[in-house]
Amino acid sequence: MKTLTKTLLFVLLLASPVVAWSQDADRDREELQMAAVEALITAPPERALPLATKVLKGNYSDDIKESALFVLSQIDRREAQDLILETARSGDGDLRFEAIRMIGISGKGDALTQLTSLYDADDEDVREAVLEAFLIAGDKESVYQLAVNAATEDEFEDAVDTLGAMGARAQLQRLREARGVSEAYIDALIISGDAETLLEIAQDGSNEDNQVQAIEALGIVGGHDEKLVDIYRNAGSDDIREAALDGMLISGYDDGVLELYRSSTDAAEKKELLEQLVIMDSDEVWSIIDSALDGGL
Amino acid sequence: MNDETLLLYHYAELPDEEARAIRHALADDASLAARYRRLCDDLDAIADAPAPPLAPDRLARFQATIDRAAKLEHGRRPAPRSRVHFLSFLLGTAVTAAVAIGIGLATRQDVPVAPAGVPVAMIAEPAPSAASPFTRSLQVYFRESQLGLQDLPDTGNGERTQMIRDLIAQNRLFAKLAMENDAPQLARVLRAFEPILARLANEDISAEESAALREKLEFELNVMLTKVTREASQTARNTEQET
Repeated sequence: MKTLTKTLLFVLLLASPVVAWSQDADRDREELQMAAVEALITAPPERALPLATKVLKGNYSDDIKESALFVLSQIDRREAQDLILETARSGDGDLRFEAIRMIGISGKGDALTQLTSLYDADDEDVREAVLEAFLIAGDKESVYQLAVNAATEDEFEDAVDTLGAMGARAQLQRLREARGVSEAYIDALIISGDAETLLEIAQDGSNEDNQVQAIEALGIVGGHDEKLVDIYRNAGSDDIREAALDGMLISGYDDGVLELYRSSTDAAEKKELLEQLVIMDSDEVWSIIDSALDGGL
Repeated sequence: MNDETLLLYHYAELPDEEARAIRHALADDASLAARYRRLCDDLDAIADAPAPPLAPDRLARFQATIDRAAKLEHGRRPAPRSRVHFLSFLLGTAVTAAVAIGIGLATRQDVPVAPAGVPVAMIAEPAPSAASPFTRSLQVYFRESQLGLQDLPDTGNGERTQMIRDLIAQNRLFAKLAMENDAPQLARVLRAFEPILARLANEDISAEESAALREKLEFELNVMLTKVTREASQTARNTEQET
């Protein structure tokens, strides 16, 4: 048994440098291959294409293949696009998602059209990869189509978020007409910074839940702080009033809270507004308290 | 006399006549005066106390709002930082800015610095004088982004997140400038960097994943730097031949 242990240890000792050497050699080879792929960008397309094809179809690591895809995305040839598209259709795992990203980078109209056929509403990873590719390509209309035809809430949310990130205000406007207002829609308005549409929803009393969310969202986006004071004053419910107050808190609009405090004649409301000013760490709060204690304001 | 009236008196919200009557009552009635002092003490306590704890439902709403704000932060251009201070003033004046960056960069002595892993020939190759200010600024941007990625700590902390936000801000700026300079292909590549940077900004990212994403970005930045430099050289040669 002892002999066996010694033998095993000896073999292990012998093998360690070999393993280390082998790992070093693998790393060196990978680095060399990566440099070779990078150099393809300097080659004329007719030379670069067959070499990139060889990498994509050959026995190389996914990292090397992904790098080859990026170089291909920079080659303005139909064959390069076809190769990317083929990988997007039939590639495995991450390589497939990378190919989808490259279609967005290449931005070619026909390839972008193919992206829609790759879209799989039931596969979250594919869904997000395709939306990201449209975002990269700046193709707002395709994302709009995916949003307007979304069958599930998750699918709609991903698409509408992407529209928000793209600043696609015209498409978001149309989407409101087609699918109405929802929390996800309001989030997209926040992302796109569309204060005007948020104000419209904030002043529309037809759905109080949407109204409350839009009022708070106005506080995040900013630009209409003084309107929050009007909304507070004209509020038809405590929820709306509280949302307006929250909006002012979020936007740091202590001038508005101060204005409400000064104009209020309701003791309980004054107390609440004073608390709000304390939470907001308003510069004015101490002078108000001081002045109130002195019997003036 | 109820507390509410005393509060209104306290906040000087009562008509003069009523206020005068209460003032007299307080002077004449010791128990009322004591009650009023307690009320004032309570108001003082509000002022002295830390912010009152929020009700759970209000807290939940704030949390939802903060989440929304975080989304906005993700979607909106973060404020430019001063790491590459000459970029800061460019916001909002994109076209003029392209020229301004070029002029700013042309006068800088410490740029470019060769980052590790960048082919020597590429660094040694000076930006052709015929290159547009936008192209020259872009070359420096690619190099500085590589440096920024190399400086990035492996694991999540505030400084790391801020560094990535700076990179994202600069990247968005150049994507916008690329569109202004009629380079949509370049704009798409720059837009493609952002999701990777956003993934890198995730504070829960593992060191291994972070390293893989950085390598990927460095590779793509390198390829773009090579491409832009070659195209600028080609343009310079063509201009020379024409003259």
